[in-house]
Amino acid sequence: MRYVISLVFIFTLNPLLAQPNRSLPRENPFLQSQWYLGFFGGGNLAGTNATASYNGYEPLNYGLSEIEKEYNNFSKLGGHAGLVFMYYSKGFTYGLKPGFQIYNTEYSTHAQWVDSSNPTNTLDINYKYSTKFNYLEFPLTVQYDLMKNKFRPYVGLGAYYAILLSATRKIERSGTDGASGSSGGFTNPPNTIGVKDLYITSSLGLIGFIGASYDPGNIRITIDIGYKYGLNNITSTENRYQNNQLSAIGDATDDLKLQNIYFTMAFVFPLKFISNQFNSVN
Amino acid sequence: MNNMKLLFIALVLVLSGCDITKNDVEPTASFTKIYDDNRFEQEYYAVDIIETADKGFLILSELKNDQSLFTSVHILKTDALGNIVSQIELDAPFANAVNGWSKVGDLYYFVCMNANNLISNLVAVDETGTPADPIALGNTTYPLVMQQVDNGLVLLSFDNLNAESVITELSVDGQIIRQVGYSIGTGVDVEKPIIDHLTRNGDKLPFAVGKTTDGIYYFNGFYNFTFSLVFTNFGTDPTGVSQGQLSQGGISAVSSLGNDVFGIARFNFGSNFINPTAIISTSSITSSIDLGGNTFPEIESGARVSLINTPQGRWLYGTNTQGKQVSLYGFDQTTNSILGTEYLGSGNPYTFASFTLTSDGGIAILANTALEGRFPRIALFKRDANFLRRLVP
Repeated sequence: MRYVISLVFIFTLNPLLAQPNRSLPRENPFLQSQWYLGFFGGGNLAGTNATASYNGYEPLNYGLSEIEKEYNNFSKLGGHAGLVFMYYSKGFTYGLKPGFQIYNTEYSTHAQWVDSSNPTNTLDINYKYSTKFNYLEFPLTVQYDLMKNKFRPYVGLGAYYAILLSATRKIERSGTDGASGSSGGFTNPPNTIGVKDLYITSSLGLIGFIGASYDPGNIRITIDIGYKYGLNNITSTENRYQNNQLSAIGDATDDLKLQNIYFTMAFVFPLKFISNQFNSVN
Repeated sequence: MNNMKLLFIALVLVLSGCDITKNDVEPTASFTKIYDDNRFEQEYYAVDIIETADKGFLILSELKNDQSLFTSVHILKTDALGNIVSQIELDAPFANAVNGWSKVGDLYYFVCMNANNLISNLVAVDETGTPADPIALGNTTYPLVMQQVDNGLVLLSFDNLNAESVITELSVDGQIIRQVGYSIGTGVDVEKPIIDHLTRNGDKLPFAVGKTTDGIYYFNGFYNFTFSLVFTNFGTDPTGVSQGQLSQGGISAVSSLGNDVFGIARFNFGSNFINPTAIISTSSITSSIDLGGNTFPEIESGARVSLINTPQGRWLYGTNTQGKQVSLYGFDQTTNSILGTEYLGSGNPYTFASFTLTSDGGIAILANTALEGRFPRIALFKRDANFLRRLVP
């Protein structure tokens, strides 16, 4: 809802914010810069970098490696949308792009029990944990235009600060219960629980991206492909084991840094000289 | 533009200062560990936990034995994170570890039974989890429960030949200082609950032994046909008795505050009651039914109950619910008010075994669980001081 209101706000106020056309000489320094306001949206593939591993199971007679988590990074599609504030000057564009980010990550574990007197008698259990993060993110970027035409490829760097709004985890349990005389698999209905408390609120990171913009008129269309690398551990070290439902089945969240590959398309509008004579390229 | 950048940087610094820099809680403060064995036939049942000087833990547990009516003894040493440092299963014929650990000096003691001659044996374990050779404790058969008293030990055992509950004061080198036996009454019906307890074929009964802060020894066990709280000065007869109802009613946990005031939990035909300030005469015959207390329908019938007198001067009760969660209750020792409640465990069933306060101000709770609902295993919940403060502010 807030996103919709924001878009309405942009479209409503844009003409008002734009300054009227003034016939100034093109060499005027005033013409060498531009403000932009717009919105963006896109998709991302998130992953997590486990900097320290924790386990709920402590094996008495087998190796810990048999039950270690397997991270399925960059396999789950997420999305993002938000506003763009940009300032252009001398080939550099500075941007503030607050927006909502949805990151989906996934890991899985496996456990097996065997009847020593009958090794074909086994129970195999697989757990898949899919975590969905909703962040309000504030990226600050700077990009450099490699060309100065209507079509402008660019490279950019940035940093972000994000606030965790919510997090949920879907737990999927499946397996093969040979102990009950069946060799067929089974899958339990998934269970989704809130896990916001397992994570701290803040997330900081760096951004690197390449992209291109195109100015068909009084609008600039940009496309970015980038990579975000989290700098801090997002897992709450205090609450790692506080979720009863997870710790009781042996799940312990590792120390994690978020990372993701993203694709973004943005539509931005110049705030100076929107007219037939002076378009956004100026 | 510069103002905007500065504003953003300031915003980042202010916001990030909140929880990123504080996100460095020691991993030893809180953790959950489930000690798993991937063999079907291995069944572990937790008995007791104690913190060692290196802030690790010694965990005493029973291991089901297909070759005997009695359970094997398993000793697990962990580090401060709950990771396994060492483990050992005592060789036969040593079996049936009773209630748990007592620390005297630098050693940790527990009592088990020689399954061949049924004699109680004292085992000293060092900091690394290495047990010394068991020491036979005279003629004490069928050990039921042992407790540290001052720098010695006191043991409750069952003499099946004379049909007596026997209380024995011991030194840590296994020398018997005092001993007296009291008749449990005669007949198979009286002995059966004890045998069922010992062979794990029936309810595990809440045997207890110790000494009140007023210096009176007590045991919670069978006396005169009933499961009773018996006070004694090692004389021919008890000084006082709080009688239960056969094996179906009595006291399930007890700790002394002095002046005949006790924190207790009691059971009566499947119902459970908690009375943080029960007054029990140590010099007359009374009935546990008269001790009252609030009923706790959520507590599972037959569940183990323990209580600790915390440094804050509160009672901390531990037990488990009918829903198979470990439950902890904090109580005020003067007003009887409940101060906090916490539940642990979900998904798999959990039952309470024991708990101990830790040197970092937190608590370690030992539980039994059944992984995937079928494999009995030991679980350790270590929780920090904040958790404990929610229970006993």
